[in-house]
Amino acid sequence: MTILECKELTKEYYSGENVIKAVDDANLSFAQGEFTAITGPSGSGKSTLLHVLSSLENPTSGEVTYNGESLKKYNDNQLSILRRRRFGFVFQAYNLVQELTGMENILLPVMLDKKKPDEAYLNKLVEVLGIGDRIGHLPSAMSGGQQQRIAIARALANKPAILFADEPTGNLDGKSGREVLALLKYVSAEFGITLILVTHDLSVAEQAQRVLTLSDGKIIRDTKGAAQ
Amino acid sequence: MKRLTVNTFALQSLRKRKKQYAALIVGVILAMVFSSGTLFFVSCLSSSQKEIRRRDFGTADVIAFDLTEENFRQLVGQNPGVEYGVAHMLGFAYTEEQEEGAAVGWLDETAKEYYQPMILEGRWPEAEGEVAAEQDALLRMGLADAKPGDALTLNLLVQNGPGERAETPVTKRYTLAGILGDKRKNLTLGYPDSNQYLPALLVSDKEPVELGGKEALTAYIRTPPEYDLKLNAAVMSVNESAAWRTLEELRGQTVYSSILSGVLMLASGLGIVNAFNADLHERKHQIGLLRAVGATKRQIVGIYGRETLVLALICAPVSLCLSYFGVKIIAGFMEDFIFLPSWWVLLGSVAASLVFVLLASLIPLTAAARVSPMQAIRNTELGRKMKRMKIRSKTRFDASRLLAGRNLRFYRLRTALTALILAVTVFLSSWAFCFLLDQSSGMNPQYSDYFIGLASDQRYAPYMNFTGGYGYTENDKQALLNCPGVASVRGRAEIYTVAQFPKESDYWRIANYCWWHTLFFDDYRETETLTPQNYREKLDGAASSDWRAFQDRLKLTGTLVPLPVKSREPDQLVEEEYVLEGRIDTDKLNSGEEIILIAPDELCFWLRDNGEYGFSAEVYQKDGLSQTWGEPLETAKRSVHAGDMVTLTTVTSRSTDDGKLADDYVRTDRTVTIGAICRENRGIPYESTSFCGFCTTTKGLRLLSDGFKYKNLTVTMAGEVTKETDEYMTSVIDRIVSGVPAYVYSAFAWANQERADRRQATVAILAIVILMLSIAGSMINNALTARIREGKREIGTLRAVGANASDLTRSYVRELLFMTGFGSAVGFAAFLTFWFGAGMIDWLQWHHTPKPVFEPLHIWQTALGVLALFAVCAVNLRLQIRKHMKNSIVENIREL
Repeated sequence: MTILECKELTKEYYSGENVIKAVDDANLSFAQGEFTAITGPSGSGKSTLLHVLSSLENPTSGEVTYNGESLKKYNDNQLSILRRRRFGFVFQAYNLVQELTGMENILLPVMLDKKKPDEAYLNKLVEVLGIGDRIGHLPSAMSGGQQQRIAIARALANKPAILFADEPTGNLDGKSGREVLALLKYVSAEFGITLILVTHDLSVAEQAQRVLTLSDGKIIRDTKGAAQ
Repeated sequence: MKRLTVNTFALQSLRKRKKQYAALIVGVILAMVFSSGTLFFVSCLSSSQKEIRRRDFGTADVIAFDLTEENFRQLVGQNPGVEYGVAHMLGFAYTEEQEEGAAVGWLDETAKEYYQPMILEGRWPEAEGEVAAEQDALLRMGLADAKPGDALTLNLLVQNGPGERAETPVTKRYTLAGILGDKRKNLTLGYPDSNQYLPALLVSDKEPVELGGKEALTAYIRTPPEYDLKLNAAVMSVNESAAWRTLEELRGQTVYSSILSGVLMLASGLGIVNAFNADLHERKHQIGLLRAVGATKRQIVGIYGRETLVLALICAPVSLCLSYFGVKIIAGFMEDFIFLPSWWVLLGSVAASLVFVLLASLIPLTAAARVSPMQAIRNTELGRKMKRMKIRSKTRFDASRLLAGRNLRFYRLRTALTALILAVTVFLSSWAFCFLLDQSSGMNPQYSDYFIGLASDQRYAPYMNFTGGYGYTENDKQALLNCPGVASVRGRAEIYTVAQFPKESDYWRIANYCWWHTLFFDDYRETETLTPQNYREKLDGAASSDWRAFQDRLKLTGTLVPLPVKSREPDQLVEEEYVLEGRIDTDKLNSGEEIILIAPDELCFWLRDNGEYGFSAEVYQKDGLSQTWGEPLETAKRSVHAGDMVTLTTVTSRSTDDGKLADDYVRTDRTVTIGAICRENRGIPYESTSFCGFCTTTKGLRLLSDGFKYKNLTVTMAGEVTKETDEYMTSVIDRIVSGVPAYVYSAFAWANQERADRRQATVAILAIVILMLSIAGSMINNALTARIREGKREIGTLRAVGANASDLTRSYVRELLFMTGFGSAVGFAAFLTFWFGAGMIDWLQWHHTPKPVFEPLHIWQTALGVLALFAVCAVNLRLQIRKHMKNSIVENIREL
């Protein structure tokens, strides 16, 4: 069942008088629970595609539909609610709120939604991610791997339908990277979450069910991954 | 390839951060204008007032008049190091139509310099037969329309030495050479006879003394600072005149304003430190990166220091222009403000604020340079702070509240600094409003428009009332009240009564001893025989035969104390008296149930050595002691207290005061309660007051003696007094005073000046308050805008996890609310402490009733200002957040 779809999606940037097409006429659909890796060389537009798909950026043309509904119809507030409830984000630079502790960062989307936290679910998340001893600390007192785990927990806190991850292992060493990837795969399978992950690391891409390869903003290959 | 130096880096940085710096520049300019503008304004105000004083009063410190050559030589001999100018007085001139006139004289060069002629039209007289007249003198002589070149025919009573003038006038023809600004009128407020001695018609030194006449001299004296000028007791002088007073007021004002501008400079300095602190904090990451690539602390200070220097150099000329034109514009709104800019003060104050900016920026700069590279990049400082502050992780929270709370805690120094600026602003603004409204709450009676008094108010027997004497009736008061444009008429009456106190006390004998010799001696000359050896005997035993006869005839026994009862308007009772005991109840005073006793706690008695004139008795309240007199001979404590009963015997007769009890007397005995005991307020003008007496309302006084007359009437007009209004008022007053030895003083020029001064003060203070609030607003805005810029990535992250614009705005508005709330609370608390505390100090020091510095308390205006400031900052915050919301989340999150 398709959960996310894009049609004729284009994103252009202006660099002086030159127009750079970061995403060029992308037509894609993502099935629920599917793990998709977007890969390609630096500057190929993979991160931009992820940002546009996840509503972090508006497309120049084309549209993105979530559960059959075009995101164009959403106003800013509705998009905020969508991001808070149905989407989760993991960034390469973790992007934790520095003034909040690990636990507070994890709870942030739940609290913004003014919901009562599902403690059993959150405890399980913390346990699965192995961050029980660090959640009382500020991000500045954590290692990169620990911060990324907190970021994953935050992305999953509201039980999202889709998890967008932008080079989640890019800042981590090999071991930590592998652990984080394993966790992402595990939690998406465990909680039935669609995972769309951007990476330039082929070994990471190989683990996805589907691999999209971009070059100069165009999708040049859409293959079923080795994991499939 | 272009070489990268510290300078090029700093300049590139400035170019790239134009927008951020624009806000900082506005803040710094405001702060610089604030501090340098205030100093410049104070300097202009001071020079303007000095100029006005020079024009109004001249530059003499004391003017001694009606002197003989010998008096003058004595004066010079007694006071070495003092400079003198001499006016040669030739007589008193008046017109046939008007009886009022002016003294005629010529000034030597020094006197002319001290007199400081302000030539309004024409020129100074140079030849015989020429005269320059003060405007007021022309007006009084009915020559208001005279122009230079006109011939004036005046009657001249030729001077025949001091105190003597020919009885028959000679007719003199003068040519009016010039019209001068008033000096005599300004100098002689409260000196009714001064027009007889101070020249207001100035002739040239070629003017001869009329045949049979002899000059009297008027000495214009300039003393060194703090000089104790010795004047023979017989010499009349104006040394405590309006000129003297305004000079002291001026000194006080300058000191006050200088302290104020110092505080303001400090506040702006704090603002600048805060603005730079916020800016550098925002760039901590950049500093860390520079340190990581090998920049030394010195280079970091060099880069940012140069940026600051460029900023300060941009701000300095702009501030200079804004300060100059700002003060000039304010000066334009102020009447009687002579704009005499001191360039040195302006340049000096701008230079000082330039240095201040550099110093203020150096504090956060050196702190930022001290941070280690990793500390700056990773922001490990937060982790340390968290450990220090013992922050606990929360599992339930309102996201915007938690974020605001954390930011306030982590960046509390910045928060405190911003709040402190607001606190100072709130304090100064509250003070300014209270001061302003306290000043305008009631006109100083000294500056009332018309004062109608009695030229002769000699009393012989302070225990009887004579309705046959002079004074003003209720009808007179009403007639004045009915005149168009009159705002209020206040009458003051005084009757004499004999009080029978329950306890015997030395206090009352001391109180009356030097005021009423007629109670003690039959002959005035007996007072001159007092010595430190015999005074006690006389103090205890002496009683004049008239006073004894009065007591015998009325069969009065016990502690009898003749004391005056004065009437006051109810509002004056509350304002003017310092309550020592009990409380003033106007209703009970009106009903005659209570009375106020004016009597200090303690009285001191001296004999003052007057050399060849013997000793004179002096009595003072304890806190009015003159240091030079040494220890008093006697000290007596008041034994009467609030709540005590006192019987007042009032005797009224239709005859005149000769000390004897006439047969037609009417006696009234009334026992009343002493409701309150007050200390006399010595600031009441035009009244010869002893330290002791009773006081009540006019209604209350009527119950004691129905036939009293007002001693004086004070008229205050609703607005400016025009020439036409003055003419009308003068005609009404002339009717009232006809047949009364009246002294009429029209102080409308003073009253107008007073009104103009208030308007000036209002404009100036309001301008300062608005500027202060703008600066505080700008600083708060700067701090929050910098916080938002600094938290741009955080905003992106929060948006990515689902925060909308209102969540973000709420968080920052909470921070703003805390800053303004905390700052205002501290400011208001400090002001209220000052408000109550100063009164308490007064009470501890002088035992006055604890009374706040200003009454009533005006803080709502400041609260309103703070609310407006909050609203402006909140709107700005919303706009800033919206600006970030317009960008995509990715743009928010992206690193530098």
